[in-house]
Amino acid sequence: MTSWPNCWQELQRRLARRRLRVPEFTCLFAAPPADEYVSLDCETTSLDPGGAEILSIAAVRIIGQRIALSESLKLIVRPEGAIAHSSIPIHGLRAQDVAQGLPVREALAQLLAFIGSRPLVGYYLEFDLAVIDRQLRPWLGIGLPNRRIDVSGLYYDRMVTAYRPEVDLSLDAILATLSLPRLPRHDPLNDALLAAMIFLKLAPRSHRVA
Amino acid sequence: MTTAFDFQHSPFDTLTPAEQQELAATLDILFYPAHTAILQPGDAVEHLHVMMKGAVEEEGGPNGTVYYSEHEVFDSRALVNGTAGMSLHAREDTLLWRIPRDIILDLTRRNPRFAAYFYEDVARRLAALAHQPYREEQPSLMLTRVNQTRYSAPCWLDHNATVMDAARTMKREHATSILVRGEKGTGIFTQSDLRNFVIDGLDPNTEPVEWHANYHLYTINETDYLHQAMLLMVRYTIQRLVVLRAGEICGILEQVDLLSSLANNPHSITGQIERASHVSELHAAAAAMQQLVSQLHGNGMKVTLIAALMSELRQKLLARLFTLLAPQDMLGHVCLLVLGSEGRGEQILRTDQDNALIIADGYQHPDLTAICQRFSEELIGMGYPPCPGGVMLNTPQWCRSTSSFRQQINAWTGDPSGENMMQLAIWIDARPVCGNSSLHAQLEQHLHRWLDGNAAFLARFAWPIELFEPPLTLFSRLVTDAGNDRQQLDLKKGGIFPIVHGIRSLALENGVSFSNTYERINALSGLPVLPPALAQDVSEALAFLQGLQLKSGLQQLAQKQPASNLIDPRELTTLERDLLKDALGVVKRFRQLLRHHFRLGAL
Repeated sequence: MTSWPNCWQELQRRLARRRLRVPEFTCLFAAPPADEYVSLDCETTSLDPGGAEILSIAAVRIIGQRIALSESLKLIVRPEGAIAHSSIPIHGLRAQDVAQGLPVREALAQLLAFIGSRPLVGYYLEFDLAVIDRQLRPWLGIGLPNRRIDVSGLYYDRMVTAYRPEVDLSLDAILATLSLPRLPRHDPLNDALLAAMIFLKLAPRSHRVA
Repeated sequence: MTTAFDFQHSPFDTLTPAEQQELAATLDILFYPAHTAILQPGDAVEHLHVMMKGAVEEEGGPNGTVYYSEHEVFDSRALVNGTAGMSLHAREDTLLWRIPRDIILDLTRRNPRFAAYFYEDVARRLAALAHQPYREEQPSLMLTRVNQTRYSAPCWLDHNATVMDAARTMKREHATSILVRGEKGTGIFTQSDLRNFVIDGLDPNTEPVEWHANYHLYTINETDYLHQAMLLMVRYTIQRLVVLRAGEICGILEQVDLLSSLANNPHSITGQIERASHVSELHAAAAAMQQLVSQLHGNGMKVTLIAALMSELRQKLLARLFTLLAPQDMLGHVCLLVLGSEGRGEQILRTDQDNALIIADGYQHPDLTAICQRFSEELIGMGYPPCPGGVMLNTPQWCRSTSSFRQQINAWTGDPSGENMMQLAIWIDARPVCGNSSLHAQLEQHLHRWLDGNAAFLARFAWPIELFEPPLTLFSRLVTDAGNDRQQLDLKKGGIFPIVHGIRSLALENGVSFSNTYERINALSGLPVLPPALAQDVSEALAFLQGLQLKSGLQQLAQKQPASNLIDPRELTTLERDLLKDALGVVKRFRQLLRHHFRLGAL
């Protein structure tokens, strides 16, 4: 028995699959490996999802209880436009740092091969995926069809009560509450790692067992 | 690649940057919710686990239940064996770093210091560490100034001196050049000028040296850097420079002085001591010796070797000082001894004087008392503080005739009180450094004849090792109850003394005549009382403890504090702390053996 939301998702996936223009990426629609996820994070030229370009992408697989850091993916991307000066102090990537980076489609091709059909995990994932999908749509005809799990949402569900309707969703607060280690921020791999750790700590077992 | 893994902690702090990169590329992270099992006994161990965050409990090990906290490594021994020996549980939600076994084993093969962490037997761990440099203390020798090195005083000759005078002066003063006050100004006459003179076949007894001297002097200022001196020598292919202080000639800097200062050569200090024709020159040598200790230690020389070298130098210094002060004919009738740690050759930093003089029966000299007084004072001037117990030449108790010493030995051995045993212990470590050493040998024989087979006395003698408990609990925790804030532990009382005194007692019992503890251990090793494996452990534990003592002593001296024997375990690296626990564990075992051997429990 499949529930209604699952049916809806399945329908969406089938539609997306039909719209996919590049057959090389049918791997996105394969059956996902059991209990595997990919946590990802991007650094971008600005914070505007409609115009931001990707500067770097990091992704790490979560396999059962393990974060497979040793097989992580870390890519530097050469943007076509300029990097917003205000964002440079945050991610530390200047034009000369990304000059040797990959063209965005090549980087995304590597990313898609890495994630396959696994569900995606991240902190405020929506923004990162909006930037990625904006690049993918004119090329593949679709955005990423993968299931998406935002760890800030998991955290909210866990913490919110009728007595405490407001939950501090800042990363610092989440890390402190869950007593997770603080890694140097705004390194995309560390950010992906943090999201993966939050996910492992919060995801209900039933939610994860395939 | 920046990595979230912290390499500051033992044993990973021993990896080179390249090795760290290599290891970082293989890291994974594991998550265990609270109350889940991580490892069970018998599980195959394919990875090394390092705590990232959380709390983990270990059960079934030899130390009972153990809790791990951040940065600690789990069950490293299991990694070597390949199977888990105990069970590990997550007490809280726990994150672990996971490192593949293969890379760890590979790194241990390449990096001995990293490997030391995984060794099971103490001696190998300590030996691997003791050979490693402590990475501080690397002064740039090129930034040394000329006046910080040892250059020799110039030998002057007047303008009417002959070449023969010059040659004789060179021989007498062990000099390779002399300066001449000639009519044309100051000139230099060197060994090579002398060689050329001989080749020319002139008469050295009539030719004035000033005709053959060189009046173009290459000079360097006392405050210039050594590398400038080296450049001058290379540029003009010369062997020596004239050193100027405020425009006046104050010395000659030889190429060999420069080299030995760059190469840190103890040989030059030996030369300086042997060449010294006046007490003031010995002062400079004493100062240079202190500098040498920190340089050798910084370069990673093993502590036992530094100690042996320094005691060699110091004994030369004392011998030279005594021969400078005493008239030549006195030396056949007296014997200068160094005692205590100095006699054992384990004194590294300058500490109290411990010395004595044996005078042959019937020998008298009017100046003898004055010479002894002067000797002690000069040593104080060189930075050797007077011995609080008065074990010095200028106290009558330690400067007496052979028969008087013999009576003293009888008194010590006849009444085994604590004070007497301590004095005897100091005496037993004596080593003759100057004069007629047969005087000392006679007294040694006297003592051994008396001691032969006197078990009750030996037990009395060994007893002080009972006084201080090694600062280690049953559960291998360090006990810090010394110092003002009771955060320190006393290396000497808790570790070094029990080994040194225990070995001394065994040496006395077995008629081992060496005075150095390591030599004594070598001689005792394999006898029924000291199995070779324990002998090895004791010797390495002592080397480690003395190394730690030296390191903290050097730090204290650098902060202008007197060197003490107290250390604060919090200031040690994790590896050093582990090794300290191991070393104190060896002390405990050794004490146990001695207690049984000398039946100290029965006293």
